[in-house]
Amino acid sequence: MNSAIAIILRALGIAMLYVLAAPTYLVRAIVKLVRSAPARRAIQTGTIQCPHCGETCDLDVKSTCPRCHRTELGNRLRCNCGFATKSFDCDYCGVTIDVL
Amino acid sequence: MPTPWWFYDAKESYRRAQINEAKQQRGADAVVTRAIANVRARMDGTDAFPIGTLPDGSELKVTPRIVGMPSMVFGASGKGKTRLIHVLMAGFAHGGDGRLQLVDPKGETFLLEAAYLAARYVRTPDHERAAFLARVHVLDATDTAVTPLNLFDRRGGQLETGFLANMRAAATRQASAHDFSDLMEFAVSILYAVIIELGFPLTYRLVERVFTDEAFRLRVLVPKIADPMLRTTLEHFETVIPGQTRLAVIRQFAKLLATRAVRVGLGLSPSMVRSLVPAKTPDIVLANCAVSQHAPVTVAREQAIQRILDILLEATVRPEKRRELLVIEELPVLLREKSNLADFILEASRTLRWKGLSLLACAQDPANALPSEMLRTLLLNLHWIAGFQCSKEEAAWFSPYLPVSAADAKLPEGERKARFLRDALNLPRQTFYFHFKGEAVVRVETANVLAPSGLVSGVNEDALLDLFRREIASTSMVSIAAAEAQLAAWEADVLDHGAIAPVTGQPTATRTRSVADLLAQLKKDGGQP
Repeated sequence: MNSAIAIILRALGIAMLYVLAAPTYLVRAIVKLVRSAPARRAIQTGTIQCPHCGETCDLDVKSTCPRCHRTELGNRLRCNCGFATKSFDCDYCGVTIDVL
Repeated sequence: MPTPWWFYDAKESYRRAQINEAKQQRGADAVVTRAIANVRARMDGTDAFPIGTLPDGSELKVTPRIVGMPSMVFGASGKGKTRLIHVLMAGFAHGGDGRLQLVDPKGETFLLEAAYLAARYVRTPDHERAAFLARVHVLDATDTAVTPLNLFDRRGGQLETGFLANMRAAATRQASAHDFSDLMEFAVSILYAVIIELGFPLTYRLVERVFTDEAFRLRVLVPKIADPMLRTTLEHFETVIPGQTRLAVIRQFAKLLATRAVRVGLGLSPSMVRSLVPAKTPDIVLANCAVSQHAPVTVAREQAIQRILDILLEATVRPEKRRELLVIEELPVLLREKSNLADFILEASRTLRWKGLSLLACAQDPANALPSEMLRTLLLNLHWIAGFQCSKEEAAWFSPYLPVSAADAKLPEGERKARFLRDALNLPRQTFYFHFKGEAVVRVETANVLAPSGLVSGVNEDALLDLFRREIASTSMVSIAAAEAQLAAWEADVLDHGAIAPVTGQPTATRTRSVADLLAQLKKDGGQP
C-alpha cells in the first residue's frame, strides 16, 4: 500500500515539476520561434537576401551534399541523407551567410 | 529538428529548385547567345562561307577578308586542323582575285589540296583546262621531274644582289641541322652573291671550285663581276674566309646537293628555268616540302624556308597591292630558333599586309615549340586564332575571352579557368575554340567537307593524286634528265673551259694573304702602315 502511494506521489511530483516548468519551456519555445522567424521565412520563400552585398540568393537550387556527394534539386542547406548546415556562401559576393 | 525545418516543404523546395535552375540556364544561354551573335555579325558578309557550327546550332560564316587576316590554327595531331585549313583555303580561293600560297613541310595538306584540285580539274570543261593549269603552280619532286625553286632570280633586277644573297644564305643556315657559324653563313652568302651576279647555276663542282680554286676565282669569276666589293672579297678570299670554314661549307653543300632532285631543284639558274618552264602567273601555288627520298629532312626544311622567303621577297618588290594568303604548315618546325631570318619572316608577314599579304600559320604545339619571344610577336600580330585540342598553355590564350555566363560567374575565377583548361585538353575531334580579337571566344564544330573523291563519281583519291601529278603538277616541273644535261653542259663550258682560259693582261689586283702582306703592300705603295 505504502509503496503504491509512494509511486503515485512520485508521479504527481514529476507532473507538478513539468507543470511548473511548462511556462519556462513555453517562453523558450516562443523565443526560439520568434528568433527563427527570418530563417523560417527564408526556407518557406526559398530566397534570402545577402546581408553583405544585398543580392537575393536562391536557397532551392541544384546542389551537391558535402557528405554523401549526391547532387539533388532542393534546399541547399539540407540533404536527404540527414546532413544539414546552417550557412552557405553568397552566390554573388562569396561571403558566408548564416541562415539558421 | 531545428525550428525552421518544422515548416519545410520538400516538394515545394524541389519545384522551386527546378524553376531556379531553368532560370539560370536561360541567363547563361543569354550571355553565350549574345557573344555568339556578336561574333557571327563580325565575321559575316555577302561573300561569307561557312567554316563550322556554333553551339546554338547556327553556322559560323567568315568572309575571305577575315581569312586573309594574320591568323593561326593549332592543336593536336588528327583533330581536324587540316580540314579547317582546307575549308579556309577553299573559301579564300573562291572569294575572287586572291592568290593562295601553301608551304607544307608535312605534306598532308598538300596531298589533300592536290586531290581537291584534281577533282576540280576533272570537272572543268576541256576548253577551260589550259586556263585552269595556268592558274596553278606546284612545287614538288618525283623520280623523274622536279620543280626548280629559282632561288637566285633577282626578279627583273628589283632585288639587290647582296640582299638576296644574304637572305638565301640565312635560309640555308636556318635549315641546317648542324652548327653553322656566322663565318660559314658569310661564306655561303659570298657564293650566292657570285651566283646571282653572274647568273650561274648552283652546282657542287662550282661550290668546290669557288672555295678551293684560287685561279678559277681570279681568272674566271673576278673579271666578270661588276660589284667592286664582291670583287675585292673574291680577290682576298683566302684571307677573308679561313680554310677550315671553306671546307666546312663544301661539306654542307655536299650534303645539301646529295640527291638528283635537289641538285636540279636548287641548282638551275634563272635563265635555265626560263628556258625549261613556261612562265605562269598562278593564283594557287602549292609547295610540297615534306621529307622524302628526294629531299632529306634538312633539304626539305631548306626548300620550305626558301619558298617562304621567295613569297615574302616577291611581295616586297611587287609594285601593286594584291590579296595573298600564305599558309605555312608546321611553322615551328621551320622557325625553331630565333634568328634574323625568323625575325624577317615574322616582321614581313606583319608589315607586308599593306601589300595584301597575310599569314595563316599552322602548328601542333606552338606554345612549347616556338621560342617565347617569337611566339609573343606572332600572337601580337594575329587577328584571330583557332585552337583544337591543345595544351594548357595554349588554352590559356582563350580563357580571358570566354563569355562568362551567370552560372559561371558564381564560380571563383580560378575554378572557371581550370575547368576550361581541362575542357580544351579534351576537346573532341573537329571541334575548336575560335577567337577573333575584340570578340568573345566561341566553340565551333568544323563543317563537314565532302571528300575529294566525292566530288567526282567513280574516281578514288589515289587516282585523283595520280591525275594531279600527271596533268597538273607536271606543267610546273622539269625533267631531271633534261635539267642535268643543261647543268652538265654549263659545267663543261664554264668550269672546265673557263678554268684553263689563258689570263690576258695583268692580274686585277695584288693578292693579300695576311695582315703582313697588307702592310708590305702599303709600304710598297709609299703609304705609312
